Amino acid sequence: MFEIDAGHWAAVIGDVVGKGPAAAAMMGLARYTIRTAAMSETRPSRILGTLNEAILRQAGDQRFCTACCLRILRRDEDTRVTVSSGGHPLPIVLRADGTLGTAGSPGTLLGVFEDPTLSDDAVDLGPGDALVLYTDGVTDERRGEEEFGERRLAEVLAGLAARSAQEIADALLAEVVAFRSDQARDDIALLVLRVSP
Amino acid sequence: MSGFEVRSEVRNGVATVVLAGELDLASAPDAERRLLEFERMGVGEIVLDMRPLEFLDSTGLRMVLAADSRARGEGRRLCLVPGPDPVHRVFRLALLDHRLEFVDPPKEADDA
Repeated sequence: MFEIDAGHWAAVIGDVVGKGPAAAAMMGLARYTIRTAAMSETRPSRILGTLNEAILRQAGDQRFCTACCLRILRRDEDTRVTVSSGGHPLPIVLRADGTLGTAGSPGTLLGVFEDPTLSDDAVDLGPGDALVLYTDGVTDERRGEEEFGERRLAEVLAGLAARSAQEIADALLAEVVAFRSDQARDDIALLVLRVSP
Repeated sequence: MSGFEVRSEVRNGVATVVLAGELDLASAPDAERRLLEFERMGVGEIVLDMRPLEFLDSTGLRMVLAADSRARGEGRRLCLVPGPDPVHRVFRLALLDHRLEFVDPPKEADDA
């Protein structure tokens, strides 16, 4: 998450396929490409499009990443978030009253196709509303044959409305860790943004 | 953690590779090896049957994408039989359900 100019922020969450040096290299590429692209491009879909191209040029071996890019504009009391997803789970909107929804629409994962389908969708957040971004390590976590899954994620989040961003992230992570039966299956990343109530 | 199994056969020039269990970082190389064997044999069509798959992670997805890319580059057909919802969801979420060639399940005339 970084500030572009006053009242104007960008936030990104992503997941790189695989582990090890090649994955770390792609993570580096993604970080600086996004930071640079965000200076000249305001639309999150364009930022992800630039990242798509950068990966294609560098790798070209079906090594891909998924990412969700947000542009956050605060003007007085209003917070407008523009969301673009490149193959990444859609952010969950957790309203102050506990209502749940998703933001954005599915987009093509990044680094494989020359012509990814990427879109920009806006969501307005009111006081106390939160946006929860996560990687599939959350929903893929298992207890035996049972998956943590999107439904359990929604149930947990519904009970966390009106809590602070830090509390939401801590409580969700604790639920996921308590759920799994053995070692973590995948990395987990969480990013929770909340408009002050 | 449940296991992984690859079964395959060639009939009338079409190779069918059935993936069962969990296709992830640990098992993707096994699946890929089997696909590469058929590719080297020069079969014109490979059917990747994911119906018995219980789990697919990004490494598994990459294996499928790489096979699709090789197939397109080498003029071969790679048909994918979608897995159960948790598996197919991975393709849908990445908007791959229209970019890859998903087909209906083959008829199982002699299914044991």
